Order: sequence, then structure tokens, then C-alpha cells
Amino acid sequence: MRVTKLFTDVAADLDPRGATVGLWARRAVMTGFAVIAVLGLLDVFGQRPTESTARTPAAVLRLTAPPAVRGGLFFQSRVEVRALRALDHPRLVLDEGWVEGMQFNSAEPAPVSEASRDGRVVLSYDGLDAGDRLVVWFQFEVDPTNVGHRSYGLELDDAETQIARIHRRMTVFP
Amino acid sequence: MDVVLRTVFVFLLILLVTRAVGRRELSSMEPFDLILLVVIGDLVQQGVTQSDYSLTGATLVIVTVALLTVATGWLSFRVRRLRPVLVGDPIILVADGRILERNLRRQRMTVEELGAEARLAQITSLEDVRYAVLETNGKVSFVTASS
Repeated sequence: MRVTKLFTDVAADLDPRGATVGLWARRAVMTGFAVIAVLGLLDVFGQRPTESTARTPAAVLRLTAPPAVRGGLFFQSRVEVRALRALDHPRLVLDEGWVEGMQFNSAEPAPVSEASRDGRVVLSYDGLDAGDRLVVWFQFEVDPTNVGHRSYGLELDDAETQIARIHRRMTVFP
Repeated sequence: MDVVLRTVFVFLLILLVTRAVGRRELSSMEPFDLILLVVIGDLVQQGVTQSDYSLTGATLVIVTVALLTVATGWLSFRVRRLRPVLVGDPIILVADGRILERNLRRQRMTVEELGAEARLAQITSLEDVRYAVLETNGKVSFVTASS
């Protein structure tokens, strides 16, 4: 039987070197996929929460929130204040990154009042005696267009006096 | 992490479902089956990605599915004992011209359906069939007495 051009073309494509290169290229791509999946399992792309703590003689401030999130996902930030002395006017001061491009679903318990201080959000709560513990749960949803790094710091004030501060950043993956 | 784990779970669930449902049902797509497949796809998407609209999440899911597909193929290739579990075994429906009704029954397949498959293979009579095998992809292959 005569070998037509269709089959000579097929034979040319089966050259061993090309096949070997193709095989190794596929293996390299699959290795890259495996690395991405492992990074995902290690929470590099969000959104397991981590804890940050600031201790001062007046109070212990603790923030539990994910350092990385993805567009559309719901997440929680938990703030805990343990007063070591009386705080007459405890205030949580949130950096701009807390609400910039985030759907703010709720804060429980709700603050007595809200205000703005140089672009930051100030939430005021009732006074705490020494040993009292205040826990506030914030629920958010990430705006899918809100991509990049932002400051996710938190400050505890007694009226206008800074008691403790946590420096954090949050990454929003596209 | 959770999106990768959900993908692994759903992949294994779909593998289990396809193996449990049987190859005949999955190879012959009636309109109802097609709609069911689309509905299952939608339900699976909701379960895996949930409210995640991100490219990162989609990348993680696709990459994980690709890895699991390759891993399943590799396991099936390397571990002979896993082959029946992962892809199934071919099943003989006709041997030496004799219809094996027990095997047909196990596959919920009638003699009429076998006849239809034979007609599609340009075979005019089942008496001409020496072997008919239900392959792992759900299709029936025929070896005639004359071949």
C-alpha cells in the first residue's frame, strides 16, 4: 500500500527528540501544578486565621484574622481585649484596610458609637474594669475587585490615649 | 487549604459515583442524562468554590483536578490491582457465539440493546458474533466469526 502524505506527516511528528521534550514539558507543568496545590494546602492563598497579640501593662489586645483572603470569600476577624487596669473609654481603632473594598456584614457586639479619626474607623465600647474581657466578632466578605496588600492594623485606645497596637497587613488575592 | 480539600473530596465522590452508576448509563447519553450531568456540574461547583469568585480559587481547583486525574491514570497504569476499582474491567457479553445473560443482567443490559449495538457495528445477526465485550468506556466491541 502506498504511504500518503498524511502518514508521512504523522511519522515526522513522532520524532523521539520532540516526544522527549514534550514529555518533560508536561512533567514540568505538572510539577508546577503540584507546587501550587501544596501552597494552597499550606494556606498561602488564604484563608486560615492567624493570631497577633500586643501586651502592655494596661491591657492585652489580641487579633485573630486571616492574613490572606480571596475575592468573594467570607471571613471573620476576632478582637479580644483583656483589661489589666480599668479602661473608662475603650476604643478600637481600625486601619483603613479593614473596610476598604470589604463588605462589612456585622460587628458583634455593636459599638456604642462610631467615628472617624484621620481616615481610620473608631469604635467605642462601654468601660472595662481590671480583669474584664471584651470580645468583638467582625464578619466580612471580600469585594472581588479589591486586590492587593493593605494595612490591617488595630489599636486599642482609652479615650484618646493609645494603650496597645497590632501591626498587620492583609493580602487579597485576585 | 479548604478549597483544595473540597476539590479532592468531590473528585473522589465523582469517581465513586461513576463507578457505582455503571459504565452503560454513562456511555449512553439520553437527554435526561445530559440535563442531570449539567445539574450535577452546577451542584459540584457550588460545593467546591462556594462564594469564592477569585482567579486564585479557580486556579487551585483546576490544578488540583488535573493532578488527581494524572494521579488516577498513573495509579491505574502502575498498580494492576487498582485498575478494576479506578477504570473497571472489560466484561464479555458474548463468548464463542453464546450470549452470557448473567453478565448482561449485571450490566442492566438487554439482549435487544446488545442487538442494537451489533447493528451499529454493521452486524446483521448476533449469531455471527464470536465475541462481544463491554469495554471500560461503556462501548461494546464485537469480534465476528469471519474476522
